[in-house]
Amino acid sequence: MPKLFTFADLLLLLAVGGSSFAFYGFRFWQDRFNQTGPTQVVIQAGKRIVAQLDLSQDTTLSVKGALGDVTVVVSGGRVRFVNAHCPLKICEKTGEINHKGEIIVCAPNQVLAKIVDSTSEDSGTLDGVSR
Amino acid sequence: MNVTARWITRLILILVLVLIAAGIRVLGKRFLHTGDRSVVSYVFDSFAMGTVLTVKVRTADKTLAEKAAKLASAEMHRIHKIFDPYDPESEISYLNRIRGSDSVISVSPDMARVLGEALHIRKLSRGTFEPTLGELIQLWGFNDQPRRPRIPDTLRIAALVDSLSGAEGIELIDEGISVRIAPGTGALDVGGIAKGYGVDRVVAVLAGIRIKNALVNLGGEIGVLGVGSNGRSWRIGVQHPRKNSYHLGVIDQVEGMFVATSGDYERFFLEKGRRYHHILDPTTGYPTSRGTVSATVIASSCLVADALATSAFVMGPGEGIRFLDSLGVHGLVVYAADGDTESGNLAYSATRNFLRIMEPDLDGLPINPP
Repeated sequence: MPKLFTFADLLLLLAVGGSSFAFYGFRFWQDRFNQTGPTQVVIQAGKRIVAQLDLSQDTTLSVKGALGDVTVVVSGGRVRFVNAHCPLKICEKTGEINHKGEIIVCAPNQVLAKIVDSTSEDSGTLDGVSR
Repeated sequence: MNVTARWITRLILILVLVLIAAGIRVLGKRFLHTGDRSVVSYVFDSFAMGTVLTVKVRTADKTLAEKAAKLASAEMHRIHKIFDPYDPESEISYLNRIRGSDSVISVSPDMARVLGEALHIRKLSRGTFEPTLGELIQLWGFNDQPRRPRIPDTLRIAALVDSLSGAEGIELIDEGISVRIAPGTGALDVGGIAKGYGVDRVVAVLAGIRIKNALVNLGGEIGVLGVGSNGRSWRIGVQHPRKNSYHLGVIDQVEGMFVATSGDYERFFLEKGRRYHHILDPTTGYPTSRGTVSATVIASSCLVADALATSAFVMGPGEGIRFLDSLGVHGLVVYAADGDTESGNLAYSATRNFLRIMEPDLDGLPINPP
């Protein structure tokens, strides 16, 4: 009576099982680790997004706000506002931002810069800050 | 027959292996919180009430999220149109023009709600929260863009403080649907608490279109619906008052809980090393100087949280916390340990129940850790 399960069957199962684990393992690894760091800054003036800039490229951009111009400087992967045409300069005092979700706001000019990245979910960061 | 049985055995084993591998991936996603790909967070930023309105909606329906953002922005602008004292066409400007005429004026339900709450909290706080500082606020110019705020003439401040009788002259009639404002009453300015009311309204509007999970953040005043990512509570940091990118700790905010903070770092200027901020002491007409640098309150509405945070800030750490404790709300007051708000030497005082929610770290924790 021939065996139901031979050595060749074992090899076949190992090959198929190994391939399955490799495939799903790769997908899982993609899900979990294919999250790049913060890559871009979105510049918004009023309701309009005026620019989406790569943090890796040093750039200086002048944005027209409600009261006057605000200069947005991207340098060394960080973003800051300079020469803002506003009374209190709170936006300049905010300093530099470089992490996902961080934001600089010039409320009088209605200009904001916000760091974004390619992922939509990040369970480690805050959802908001009460200030 | 044996050959068929062997092949069936092989296929079953192969199928079992494939299912085990798939199961491991699904379980891994579930327990390691990589998230459900179908539900995502849609985040919308816009400008409203002189600050940024952020609406975060967690849904699988992008169209619904966009509708929520539009309705949120429209509702916030509607509220702003009622309470903006710098808009001559606003309802509050109208009340300020005819105040003192002793006539009975009908008000909108929004105005009735905000005025009613403002007068109630004014009474509870023994006048540390005062909604009739319009002239003083204009004199300092903290909200008057594009003019740069500056220290007003001492005599003008003193004259205004002496001449204004406060909100005692405001009488709500017919359960608040009408109001009478007596002569000598200061100009209404409820700009601070109108933001909190706006958050309450937007949260209600989103609930009305069956949004289950959302966060509404108007310049740091926050209300939520449902839960955040991975089914957990929304994680809200409390701003460190002297370190921009740092927070004092995290509150797990749930539906029905609203958080508001008043701080001396939002609108201020420094002159000769002294900080002049926008939270005025009704008894002196000057920025409050009891050493408080920030006050955070958690309450059942953002309007109330907002007004109580201002009250606690003005009262100072000791009296402020006793006041909040007496009302049974959660509160935290951060103050200068040596009385000098610029020295960086901070201490805190908290209500009994606040420390169960969050233990403040005065060294600060990074808002977005690398």
